[in-house]
Amino acid sequence: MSEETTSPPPPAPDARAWQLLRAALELPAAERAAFAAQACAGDAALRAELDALLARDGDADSLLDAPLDPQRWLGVPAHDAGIGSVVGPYRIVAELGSGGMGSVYRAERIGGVARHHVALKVIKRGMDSGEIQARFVRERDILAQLKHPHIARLIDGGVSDTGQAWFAMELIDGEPIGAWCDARRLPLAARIALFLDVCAAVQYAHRNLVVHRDLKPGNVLVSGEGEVKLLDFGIAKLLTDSRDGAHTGSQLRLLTPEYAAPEQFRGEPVTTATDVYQLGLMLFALLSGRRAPRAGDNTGAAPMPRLAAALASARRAGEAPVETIAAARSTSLRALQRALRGDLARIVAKALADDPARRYDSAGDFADDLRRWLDGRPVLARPDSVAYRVRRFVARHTAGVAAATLAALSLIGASVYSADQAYRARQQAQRAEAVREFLVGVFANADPDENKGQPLSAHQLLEKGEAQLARDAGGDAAVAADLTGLIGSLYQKLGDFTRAKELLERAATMAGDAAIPAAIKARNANELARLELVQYKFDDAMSHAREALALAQAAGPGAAKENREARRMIASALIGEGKVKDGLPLLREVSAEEQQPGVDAGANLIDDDSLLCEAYEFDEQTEAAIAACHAAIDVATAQHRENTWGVSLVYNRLGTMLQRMGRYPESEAALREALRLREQLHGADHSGTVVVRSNLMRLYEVQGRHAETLQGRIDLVALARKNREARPGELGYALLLLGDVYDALGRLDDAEATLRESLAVWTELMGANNGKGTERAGVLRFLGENLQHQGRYDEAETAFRDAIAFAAAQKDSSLLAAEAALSHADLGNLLRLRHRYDAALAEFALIAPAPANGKNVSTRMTQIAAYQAEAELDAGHVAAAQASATQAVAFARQAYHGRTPRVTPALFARARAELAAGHPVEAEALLRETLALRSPPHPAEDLRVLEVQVELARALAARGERDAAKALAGATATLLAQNKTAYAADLRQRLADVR
Amino acid sequence: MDESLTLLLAQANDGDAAARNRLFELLYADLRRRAHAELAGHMRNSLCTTALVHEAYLRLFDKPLSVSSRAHFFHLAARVMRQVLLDHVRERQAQKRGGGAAPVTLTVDAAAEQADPLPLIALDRALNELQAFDPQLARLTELHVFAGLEFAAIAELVGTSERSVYRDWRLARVFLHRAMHGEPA
Repeated sequence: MSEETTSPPPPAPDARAWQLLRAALELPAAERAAFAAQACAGDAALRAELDALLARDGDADSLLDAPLDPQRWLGVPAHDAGIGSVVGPYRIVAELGSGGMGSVYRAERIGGVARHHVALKVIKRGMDSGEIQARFVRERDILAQLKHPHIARLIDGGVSDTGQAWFAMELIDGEPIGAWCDARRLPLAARIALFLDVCAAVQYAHRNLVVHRDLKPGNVLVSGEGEVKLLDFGIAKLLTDSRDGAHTGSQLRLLTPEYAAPEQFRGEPVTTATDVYQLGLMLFALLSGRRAPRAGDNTGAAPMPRLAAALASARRAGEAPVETIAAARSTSLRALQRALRGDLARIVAKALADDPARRYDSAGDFADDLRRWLDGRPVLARPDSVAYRVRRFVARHTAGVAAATLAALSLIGASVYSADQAYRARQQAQRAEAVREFLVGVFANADPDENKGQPLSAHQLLEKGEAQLARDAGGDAAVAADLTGLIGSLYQKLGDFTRAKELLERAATMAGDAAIPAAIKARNANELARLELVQYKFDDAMSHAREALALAQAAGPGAAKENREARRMIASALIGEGKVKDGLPLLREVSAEEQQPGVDAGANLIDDDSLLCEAYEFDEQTEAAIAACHAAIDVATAQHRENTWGVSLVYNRLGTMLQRMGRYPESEAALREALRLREQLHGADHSGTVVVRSNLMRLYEVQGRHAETLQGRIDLVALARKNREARPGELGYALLLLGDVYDALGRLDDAEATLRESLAVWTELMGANNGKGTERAGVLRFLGENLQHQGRYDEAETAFRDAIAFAAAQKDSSLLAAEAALSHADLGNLLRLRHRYDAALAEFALIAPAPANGKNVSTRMTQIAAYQAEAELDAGHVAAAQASATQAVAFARQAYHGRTPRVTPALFARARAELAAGHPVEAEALLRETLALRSPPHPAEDLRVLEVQVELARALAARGERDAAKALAGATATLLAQNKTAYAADLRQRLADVR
Repeated sequence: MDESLTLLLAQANDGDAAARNRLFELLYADLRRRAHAELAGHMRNSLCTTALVHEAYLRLFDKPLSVSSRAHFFHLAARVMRQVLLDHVRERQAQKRGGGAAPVTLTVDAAAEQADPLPLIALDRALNELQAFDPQLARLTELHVFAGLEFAAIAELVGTSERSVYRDWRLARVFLHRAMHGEPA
């Protein structure tokens, strides 16, 4: 047929006739003729028109109707199970209906003894019949054995001649449960009793490990005698089953979206809880006559469906008016609304919980609670109690926060307010009560609905607290100050430093108010100091901590805790500035006090050990520091606080120390533990987590695996930029470390830009901090080295001298002493490269000897000795060079275990010395090792690689391997030619002997 | 895909024509691909448009949409499906006539060739007529025929009763039948 060239379409039907047709179709068929006659009285043309249309209604029946099969239009034969056709051992007698899966027919058994009719479900084309059949064979026994008075039995199944799967089921003569109940005007209790039968059936099936998956009202029939029958049990499973129980794309299509449970949408595995959900929907409709609002509906109802509210809400399509609904339940509207509140609503709500884990575990449990309701007993479904929410909040979030919160709550119980007389005691009790109430109120007001059923985050709770506080501003000043400080400190624990600072500073301004107890002021001052420490503002921290101490002392023994805390803050500030000698004793003093019996220091013990560890580390007493770390972990474990922030702190320190000691596998293990804890507590972007991420990368970089960390470093810089205001130190570090990676990878320009930016950041930060802090020196050194690699010797020299000067100005820091020493060594090396050998040697002479602690070999000694050796060598003092180089290698071997490029300066120096001393064989071995360690990370044309190759060529030549030597020399020379720096020229010169 | 789709849908719902077009494009590409995949192979000539549309709905959105969004989606999907089928039939026609159009691999069995398919193209034209005559009926037809929604579902989306939907369906049928088969002699 050529559909493109058809006759023009007939004109649209006559408008009046059409209207009449519309009306006529509302009437039963028998009455239409009469209606037509009446309506068209006198107008024969109209009548004819109408009749024609009505006739067409009859014709159209056969044409477009169910089952709709567009595939027919594609030239594919329709499924042709019509009346009389044979499907398996059955003959179709009548059509009962059609649905998503296919059509249902009444069929009789061919050659059966009695007229035994079944319901025959023929599955649409488009399903993979073979697979369905295979599953049916597997499941048939289970399904056929589902013998329950309320379950329509599955009798048989197969594949028809037309290739369609079919199932024969017990034929049920009945009405859908909703209609059945309405027709008999069953009251609520009776409906529930009927529903219990449904639950029993589902429970029975669940016990046989069969989940229905498609429990819609149409699938629950009630016979004339009041017998409930569930249809299609297990059919959905057969049609959709997959090995792991989760839905894949093709299986989703069978779901009836209107009745699908939330997890079915998400493609998660279907469980008995899914059936519970669908039962919940069914009950909702049975009780309220309304469909349960689903998430996303524009009804304005909360996602948690409320039974009573459903009655109050606007009527939707197909729903009866509320009076009808009440009548269908043999009750009044008011009584109905009353009944639908309270426990019944809670039961339904529990069944309809979005999270499957929060529903009833089984249909049986569901039924039990309904029975309780019928009996008037208390039900299990209960609204979220305050206690439950508090528990949930605490469990979800960092134990640190929880501890702080609980500590706050318990603090209120303890006598934080200066103990005085009965009056004060009463006042304090009142305040304590007020604060406690406030906090509890914050939790209690945390309506889970507010956040679409998701629990509120700690941050959100704090925001609520803050808002609440603002509203209640007029109240008790002491309480307000207390709460402001408390919320501020909690924000800090969550890492939101901006908010924390705001609140803590506000709390500090309240300090002028005499009504506020000194202890509270002290505590707030301490918290502010703590925040400032994190932000490297040591001076501010110090002054606030001193203030806190003064206040605490004034407050007397009641503020002992604040007193210790203030001293701890002071100690931390001192240590942060590098004044370890001053800070350490103070810290030990506080720690000792806290270990007294009767003193409840709690988590502070961990902090103390942790701080001690930090102090020891600064002081380079590494073993002591490690011991302190382990002590901290032990204490934490004993207090069941092993998954806390404090412990992650310890692991992080441990990891970095171990790395500095060259114990890489242990370091990685510790750092990964720290990372795990922090990610778990605060997520990947939290400042603390970032620190550990960075440390792990550092560990890799120490091993020369810079290529692996580059992207991670770039990511951290981006993150640090984003957080620059709140976490200023982070950007400085991130840039420094990125610059180091660029440099190692030979991207010298990128390195320089990055390092300069880092320097700017540190300078700005320290400018605000009166120039204290050790990082700037380090950056200057790195920058100097980078400039030196680029051959910009003047600028490099300036940088090194700056570093030296800066370090010299900070006399009392042992860490800066290390920086100073290294800077001298760097400068000496540079001078050597500039051929100013005497100046170079003089520089090395300036370096103060390291602390005479032979056990802990400082890594810096490796570097210093190596550079010194080369300087001596180039100055012509071969013997001295040998000695220095040997020492360097000895230091290196002790300081580093495992493969790391950091030993290479020592190895290289030694190699050169040996070669100069006439030992080419030893030199060669060392050079090969050096080369292997330097490349990667350095690229092939990097001078740090080429210098080794030059020596190697010379060594080979010295050993008499002229060919190998020449080949290597040639290759090296080619690469050297591209490099315009002075050092490259020097190296070419050295190659000249070989070529 | 999910978030921007929901957004597009919301915008389309608000009347944003550009969003609607974009959504149509996306759905068209998606459904067409799947339709072709089914036709092209293992599923034995079967194409269940209903299933495709439902699957698309469940696949593209991870939670139930509001009624109005759902309505919008299904209307759109029905349109798309109609278009997909139409395009397919036209391609096959072109193939048969040796039109040189890119062949869609289709395992056609002989019996199918001889079957007398309901002329989809005629239906399409008739639907256009119906659209001009009574747009609501036309949309109903699309939802039922191409998106395969059952009357109860349509009733909920459209906001009427199931009875009304059924009655309207019969009206639509009358019109379409008349348009496709002409006046009786």
